[in-house]
Amino acid sequence: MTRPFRSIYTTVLLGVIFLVFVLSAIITSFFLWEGRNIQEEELVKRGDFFASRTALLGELGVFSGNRELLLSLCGNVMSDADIVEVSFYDNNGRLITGKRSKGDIREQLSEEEMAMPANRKKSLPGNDAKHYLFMAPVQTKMHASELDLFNELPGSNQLSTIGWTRVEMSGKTIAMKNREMVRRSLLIAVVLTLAVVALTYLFLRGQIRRPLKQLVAAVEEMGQGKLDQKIEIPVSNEIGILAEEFNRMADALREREVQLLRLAKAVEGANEGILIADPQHRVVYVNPAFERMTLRERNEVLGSSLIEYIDCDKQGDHCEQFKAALEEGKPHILEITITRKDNSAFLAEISISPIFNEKGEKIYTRLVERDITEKDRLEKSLMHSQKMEAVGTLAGGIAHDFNNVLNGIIGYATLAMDSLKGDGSKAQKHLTTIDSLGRRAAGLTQQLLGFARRGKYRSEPLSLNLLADEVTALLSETLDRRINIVRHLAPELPLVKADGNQLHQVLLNLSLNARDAMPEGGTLTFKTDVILVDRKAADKYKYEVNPGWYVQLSISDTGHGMNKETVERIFEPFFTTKEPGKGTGLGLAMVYGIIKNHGGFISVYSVPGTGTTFKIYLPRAEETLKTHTVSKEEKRMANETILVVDDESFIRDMLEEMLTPFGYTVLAAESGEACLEMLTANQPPVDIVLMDLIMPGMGGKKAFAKIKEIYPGIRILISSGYGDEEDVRDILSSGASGFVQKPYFRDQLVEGIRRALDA
Amino acid sequence: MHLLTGNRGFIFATILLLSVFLHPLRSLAAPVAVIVDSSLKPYAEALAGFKEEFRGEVDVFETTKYNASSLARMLDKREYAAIAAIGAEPLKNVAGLKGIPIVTGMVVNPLAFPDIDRSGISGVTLTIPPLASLRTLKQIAPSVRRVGVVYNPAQSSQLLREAMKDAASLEIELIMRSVETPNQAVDAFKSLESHVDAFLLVPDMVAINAVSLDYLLLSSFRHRLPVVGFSSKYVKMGALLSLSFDERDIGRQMAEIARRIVQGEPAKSVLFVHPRKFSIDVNSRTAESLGITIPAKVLKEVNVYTP
Repeated sequence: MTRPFRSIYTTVLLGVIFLVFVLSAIITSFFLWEGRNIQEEELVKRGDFFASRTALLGELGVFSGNRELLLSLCGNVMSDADIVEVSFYDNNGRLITGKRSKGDIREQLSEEEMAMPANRKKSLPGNDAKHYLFMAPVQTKMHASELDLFNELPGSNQLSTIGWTRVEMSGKTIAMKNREMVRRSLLIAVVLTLAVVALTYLFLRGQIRRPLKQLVAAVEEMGQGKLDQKIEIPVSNEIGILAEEFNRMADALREREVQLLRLAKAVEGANEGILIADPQHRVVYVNPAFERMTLRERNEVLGSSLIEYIDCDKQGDHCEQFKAALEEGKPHILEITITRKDNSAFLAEISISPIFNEKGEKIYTRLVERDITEKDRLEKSLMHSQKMEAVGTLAGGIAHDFNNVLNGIIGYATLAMDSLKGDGSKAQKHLTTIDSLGRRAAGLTQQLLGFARRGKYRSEPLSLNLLADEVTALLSETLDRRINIVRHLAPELPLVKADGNQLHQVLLNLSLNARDAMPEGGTLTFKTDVILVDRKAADKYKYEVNPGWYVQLSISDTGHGMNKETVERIFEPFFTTKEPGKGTGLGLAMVYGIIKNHGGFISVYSVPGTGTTFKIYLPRAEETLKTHTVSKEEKRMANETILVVDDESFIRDMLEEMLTPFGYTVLAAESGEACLEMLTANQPPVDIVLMDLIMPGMGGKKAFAKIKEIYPGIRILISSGYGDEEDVRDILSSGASGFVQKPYFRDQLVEGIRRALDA
Repeated sequence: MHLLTGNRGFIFATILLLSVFLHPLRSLAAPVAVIVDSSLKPYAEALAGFKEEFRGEVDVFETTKYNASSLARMLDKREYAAIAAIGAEPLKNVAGLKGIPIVTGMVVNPLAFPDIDRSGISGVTLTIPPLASLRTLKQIAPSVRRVGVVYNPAQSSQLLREAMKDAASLEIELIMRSVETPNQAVDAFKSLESHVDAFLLVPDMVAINAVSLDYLLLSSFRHRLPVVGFSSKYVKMGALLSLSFDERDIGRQMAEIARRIVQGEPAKSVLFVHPRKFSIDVNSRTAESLGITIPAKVLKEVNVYTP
C-alpha cells in the first residue's frame, strides 16, 4: 500500500498559513479581549470616580436634604455621555433626588444595592448594551467624643453613612468601540496573514521548494542509474549542506560504480571460470567463462549445489579435499576433472577461497576454475621433449667418439684388405667381416644421430614422389609378395628441402615397420599431398608446429595396429614392441628426429586390428628440381695436395695411407693452429683442406674462419662424426666446399674430395 | 531575715522609720484614684499636671484596661479620698458611684451626665469663657458688632447666658440660632450669614459637626466673616482665631480641688471652676484673606499660625 504523497513545501506552507491564522486569531482575540477589558476597566474607573466624587460632593446636600444642590450636582455629572443615571438616596434607601436619561428613577434602593460594597460595580442588563451600576455611600465625619471638638486626635471624627449615590453607566460606547476594534483587528489579521503567507511562499520557494525539486530530480535520475548528477544549490541552509553531501555521495557512487564495473568486467571477462556460492553451498553467481567451460547456462547452475556440480562422488580423494576446503574457510587449490554438460571432461585447477564480511564471518565461497587440459598436455609434451633432448644429447656424444673409432676400424680394415689384394686368405675373410660389422655399427650411429636431430647437413630440393618411387621400387623387390604396395601420389607435388639420404632412411624404416605389422600380408599404401596447416590445425598437434603449406607423405598399413599406450610412446628411443634382438628401439626415434630436424612433424593414427598410418609433413620448398650427374673424369688420378686436420693421429695416418694411392699429396696437422702454420709455410701449396670440426684448441669453426680470412680461395672440406648443426650450417653457408660424414668410407670420401676440387 | 538580725538590722529599721516620718507628702493621708485614658495626648497632659500638683498617693486606672464594673471592683479594694475622672469616658464610668467625691476635668458639660451626684462632684469645666474670645476678636476686628452663634439648648444654654453678658460688655450683640439635630446646623449657619459680622463657635456636639463646619468655614471666606473657634484646631482649619486651654494646667487645677477634698473640705462646698490658662492662635493667611490687619500689640500676645 503506497503512502499518499504530500510535499514538504505544501505541508510547510499549509502549516504556516494555519499557524499564522491561528496566531492572528489568538492575538486578535487577546487584544480584543484585552482592549475590551481596558475599556471596561476605564469605564469602571470612571464610574467609580463619578460615584465616589458625587458621593463626596453630595455630602452637604444629602446631609442637609438640599435637593437643589443635589440636582445641580446630578446635572454636572450627567454631561458624560455614558452615564445613564445619577441619583441620591438617604441612609434608609429612599430617593432624595436624581436624574436619568431614559426611564424612571426608582424610589427605593434594593437591599442588594444597599449591601453592595462601596464603589463596587455591578452589571445590569440594558436594552442597547450592558449597563454598569456603581453604588457609593455618602458619608460624613461625626465627632466621637467631646474631645474631638477641641483636638485633631487620631481615630476621631468617625465616618457615618448618611445616604447613597447611585450611578448607572451604559456600555454602549464600549460595545461600539469593540465592534470597530474587531473590524480593524480582522482587517489587520487578514493583511498580516496574507503578508506572512506571501513572504513564506517566497522564502519556501527559493530556499526549500526549488532546491528540493532539484534534489528530488537528481535522486530520481540517480535511481535510474544516471550517476553523473551534480546539484548546484546556492543556499546555505541544511538543504545546501544536503546538496553538497548528495554531490559527494554521487561522486562516491560514481567512483564505486567505476570500481564495480571494473571488477564486474574483470570477473565477467575473466578467462577463468568464477563461481560464487552461499554458505549453504548454493551457487549464486557464475561468470561467462564458467558457462563456456562447462557448456552450462547460468540459469541452470544458479541455485544448484556446488558439491553436485563438482560431481564429488567421481572425484575420489579429491572429493573429501574439496569438501574440507569448503568447510575450512581457508584458500585451497585442487586439480579435479569436471564433466561438461555434453559429458566431455576437462582437467581443472580449482581455487577455493572464502569471502568474509566486515565482521569476519564467511558469507560466500569463491571458486575459480581454470581449464588446464592444454597446460597439462603441454607440460607432458615439454617433459617428453626434454627427455628426447637429453637422450639425443647423450646419443650424439657417444656417436662422435664412436664414429672416430669406427673410422679407424673401417679405414684400416679397407687398407688391410687392399694389402692382401683379395688373396682369399682367412685374414681376407676376417677383414671383410670387420668391414661389414664396422659399416653396420656406422649405420647404428647414423640412426642415433638422426634421432638426435643431428647430421642433416645436406639440404637440397627434392620430390617426395620420386623418393616414394625409389623406395617402392626397392620394396617391391624385397618385401613379401603378400604385401600389396599401392601408391597415391599427387601430381605436380611441390618439392621439399631435405637430405635425400636421411629421408630415404625414414621411408625405409617406416615401410619395414609396416611390413613387420603385416606378417600375414596386407596393403602398404604411399600417399602424397599438399595441405595447408592453419593455426587451429597447428595447435591440435602434440608438438610445436608452425602454420603454413606442407607436403604430406603418408604410409599406411593394414596390420595389427597399436593400442593408445603404445602410440603415446612410439617415438621414444629404445621403446620397442618387438622381440629382443629384432629391434633396437631406435628406428622411429630416428624418424622423429629427422623429420623435426627438417622443420616438419609426424603424426600417427592407429586402430588396433585395423592398421596404422604415419603421416610425414615437410615444409613446402620454393625451389625447382636440380639434376646432378657425376662425370667419368672424377675417376682419373689426382695430383693435388690435401691437408688433413684432425686431432686423432690414427685418423691422420689412415687418411694419408688411404688417399695417397689416388695420387694426392697428403699433409697432416693435429690442430687448427698447426694447420695455419702449414698453410703459411705453403710448402708444398695446399689445394684442399679436409678438417675435422671438433678439435681441442682453436676448434674447427674458428680455424675455418681464420683460413678463409687469410686464404679466401682455398677449398675446405668439413668432416665430423657429430657436430653442432648450427655450426655446420654456418660453415657451409660461409663458403665451405662440402661436408663428409664420419666414419669415412673410402669411396664416398674420394668422391667428395673430387667433387669439391672440381666445383 | 538576716538583715534584721544584730546591729545592722537595727540600723536599717531605724533609717526606714525616720524616712517615713520625715517624708513631706505624708500630709495627705488617703490616696486618690485617677481614671483616665492616657493614650490620648490631651488627657495624658492633664494627668501629668495632676500628678505634679497633687503630690499625694495616686492610683491611676486606665479606661482602656477597665470597664465600669471591673473599675468599681478595683475601687472597692481600697479606700480612696476622691476620684479624679479626666475626660467624659472616665466620668461616665464612675458617675454612678456614691459616697466618693468626684473631681472631673476635660469634660464639656459634666452635670449633664445621668446618675450624677451633683453634691459629690466638682472639677474644672471645659468651657472657654466667651469674654476672652470676644475681647481678642474686638482687638483684631474692632468693627465687629454682631456675632452669630448656633447652639443646642440642652448643651450650651448655660454657657450662652454667660456669653451674652460678656458680649454686652464689649458692645457686641450675639445673634443665636438653636438647633436640635446636626443636619439643621448648616441651615442655621446659612440663615445667619447675612445678619452677622462674625461667628462664634461654642463646644456643642450638635451644632458643630464636619458638614456644618466645612460649610461655615467656606461661607466665612465667601462672605468675609471671621470665625472664632475654641481650639487651635479651628485656626488650622481656617478660623481667624481661637483660644485654647492648657490641658496640663487643667490637671493642676483638678489636683488643687482634689487636695482640698482630701484635706477634709466637704465636696459639696467645692464648686466647678473654669480653666484659667489660655493661649491665643491666629491664622495669618485667613486674616489676609479677610482683609484684616492684626495689630502689632496683639501679635506679641498670640501664636501666629501660617499654613
